[in-house]
Amino acid sequence: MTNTSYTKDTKGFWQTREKARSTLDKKRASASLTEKERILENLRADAAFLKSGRMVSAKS
Amino acid sequence: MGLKEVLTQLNNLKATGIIQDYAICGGYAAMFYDIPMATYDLDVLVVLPTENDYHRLYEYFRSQGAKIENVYIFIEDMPVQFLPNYISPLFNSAIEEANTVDFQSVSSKFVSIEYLIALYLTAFRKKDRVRVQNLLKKANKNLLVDIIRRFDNDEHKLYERYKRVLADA
Repeated sequence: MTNTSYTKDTKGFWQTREKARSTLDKKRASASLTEKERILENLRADAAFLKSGRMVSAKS
Repeated sequence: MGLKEVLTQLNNLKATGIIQDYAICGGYAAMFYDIPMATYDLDVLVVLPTENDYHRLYEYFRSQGAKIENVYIFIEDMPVQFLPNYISPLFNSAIEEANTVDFQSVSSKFVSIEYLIALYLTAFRKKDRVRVQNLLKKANKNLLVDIIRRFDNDEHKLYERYKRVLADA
């Protein structure tokens, strides 16, 4: 990892991502009520799963 | 199907050498540190030596029949965004210094709270500033300032942004 050569111009990279995120947000906002409920349910399940995590090595 | 299956798939990508390493960041990392967050996508920092390896990652998922929309690869119905380490030395260190976390029968890596804050300072949208405020309550400030100073640059002005967030608190 120490020999990584980094991209000089990352502006395009971030612009593409911001655009994609905005598209995804709009899609979620216009989803049906049933779909929104499903997303919320998944999010609750993921939050419960994350709570079950135990940190086994903390580097910082 | 849920996050556990997604993490298992990420571990498989690492085991098969498609990615060299990874660490969860973004909203899901914030949720792990008990910060309430409404997030729809999973942000994953990945170690990939070159841009070609990044394209190969997409090719792999395409060959598996995965749904791909813009930069998002859908794993188990979850939109996943891969952020390659060659974009920023901050990404690289965030992965190297990530915390290993054990869940029910699956392990994963999550960026530390301090790196998560530094990543949000890089993006620095309105919602990121709110997230930084919340995460600061749990962060080691000395460590955070050390990270900020190490990765500060003219493009992202991390220290200046950090001071702005503190002033708004």
